[in-house]
Amino acid sequence: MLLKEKIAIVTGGAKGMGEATCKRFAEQGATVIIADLDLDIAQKVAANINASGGKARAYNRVDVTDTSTIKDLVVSAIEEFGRIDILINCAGGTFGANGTSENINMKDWNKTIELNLNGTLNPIMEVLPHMKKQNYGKIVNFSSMGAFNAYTVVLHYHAAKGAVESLTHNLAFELAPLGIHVNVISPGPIMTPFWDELMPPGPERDQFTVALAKKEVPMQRMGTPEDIAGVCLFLASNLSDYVTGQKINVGGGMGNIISHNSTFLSSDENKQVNK
Amino acid sequence: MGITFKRLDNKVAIVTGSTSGIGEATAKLFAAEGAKVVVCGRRKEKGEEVVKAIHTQGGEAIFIQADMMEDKQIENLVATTLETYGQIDILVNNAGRIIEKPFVEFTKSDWNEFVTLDAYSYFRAMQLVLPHMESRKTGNIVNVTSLAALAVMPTHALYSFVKAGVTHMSKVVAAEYAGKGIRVNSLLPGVVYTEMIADNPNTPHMEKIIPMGRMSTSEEQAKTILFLASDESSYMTGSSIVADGGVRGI
Repeated sequence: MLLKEKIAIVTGGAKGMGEATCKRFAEQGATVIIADLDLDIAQKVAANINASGGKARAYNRVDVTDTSTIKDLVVSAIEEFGRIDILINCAGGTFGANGTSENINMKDWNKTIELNLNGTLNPIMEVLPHMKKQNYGKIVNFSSMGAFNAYTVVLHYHAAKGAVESLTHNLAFELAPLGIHVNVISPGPIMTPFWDELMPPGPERDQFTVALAKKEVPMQRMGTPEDIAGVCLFLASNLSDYVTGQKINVGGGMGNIISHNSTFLSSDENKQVNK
Repeated sequence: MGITFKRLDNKVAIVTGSTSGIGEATAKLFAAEGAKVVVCGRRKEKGEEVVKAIHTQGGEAIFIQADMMEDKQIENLVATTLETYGQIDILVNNAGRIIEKPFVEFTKSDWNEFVTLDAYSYFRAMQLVLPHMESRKTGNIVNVTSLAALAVMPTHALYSFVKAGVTHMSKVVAAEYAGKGIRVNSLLPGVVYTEMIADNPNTPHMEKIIPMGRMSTSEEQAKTILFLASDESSYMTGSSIVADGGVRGI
């Protein structure tokens, strides 16, 4: 097992990519501490993991923009386990339906920057003193393919994610001599509850996503939360012991190569999402 | 190594240049993960030692002698693998060497030899395995290039040129085969302590520019190759993963 006896905090761990990561980590021997806005679901995910022979906790409701809730979580984790080896900063999201220059407003802008950029830094600041004491830590941040390879325009969200990439690079440089690794995943189109806000689940959405993947994704399929969990496992385990300060594109080839059929910005599909 | 989870159970993997260094570590790790490994290189004795070590650990491997400068030997490598194991799931292109000279001192024979070994052999091996992989609708190629594909150092004119070219060519191959169940990614190792670098006068200087403060082991690079060759990287193709201890960011 790759994460035997490791203690991992996963923000946004109750749903989607975070949930899949929690499950994968638990299978690999880690104790998973689920930090999420929705404590009920976080507790259910923890209960499922515990019932299937893994080890998970959901101590309190965590809002990554509210430092006091993260402090409480870290205090509980240290009290029970004495260390924190891994932080997966998966919590994120966007405010306002559309983020083009015509529609963006400062209220959505500020909230989106706060959630994605401050919400990445805040948990890092709380776990770092412990990782420094241990001379060991693996931090994984989340960007978005659109930060540098826009396939739809979401100015505030993508700008925040671009800043997360800079934060990752600088922290990696600062912390490398201390045995703390910091990397960032840039996911492409992954089927998560994030999509529910854009389009309700159902046959219409399935048809849309299949067509979208054929057009936009070189590998011709949408990604799954499990696709992301595998990369988190790489970056959280000793498989990546000489990898720090890196961005890993996980988009079925997006970000690395261009699909032959890529026309999304001007396409009907884009209008369907960006109403 | 304590990470065995049989991630490559029953996969057949060719690892070029696996008589020493990153290739040897990769062959051993793949075998520990359940793969049937084809060890290859020019040095028969060294290759047979690697196979013996794998057998001692209970793994499966054969040695096929191949000088990757020679077309016929690359063809024989692929054909013999298919005769022996019936399939090829993974190709790790790794054979290579380093060449360092002041720019004006490079000769045409340096050019020909270096491009043949470090670029043509990768190109030709991919050409030979891809139709087979396409017929099975599954396959995984990892091209081991170098941080020199991105970072620039004096005396690396030819080295950087070839490593950047192969890294970029990998993306084109990835694009051509992305919809066909075949993934192609590159690993760009930073400074790795291998026999290639042991007596390099630049080595102490290089350690100073590594944020992690040390060179990499071959085993560390092998683990990252395992990630790219396994299902953990299921939604990745055309990627260049840099494993360099923090030298070059994002």
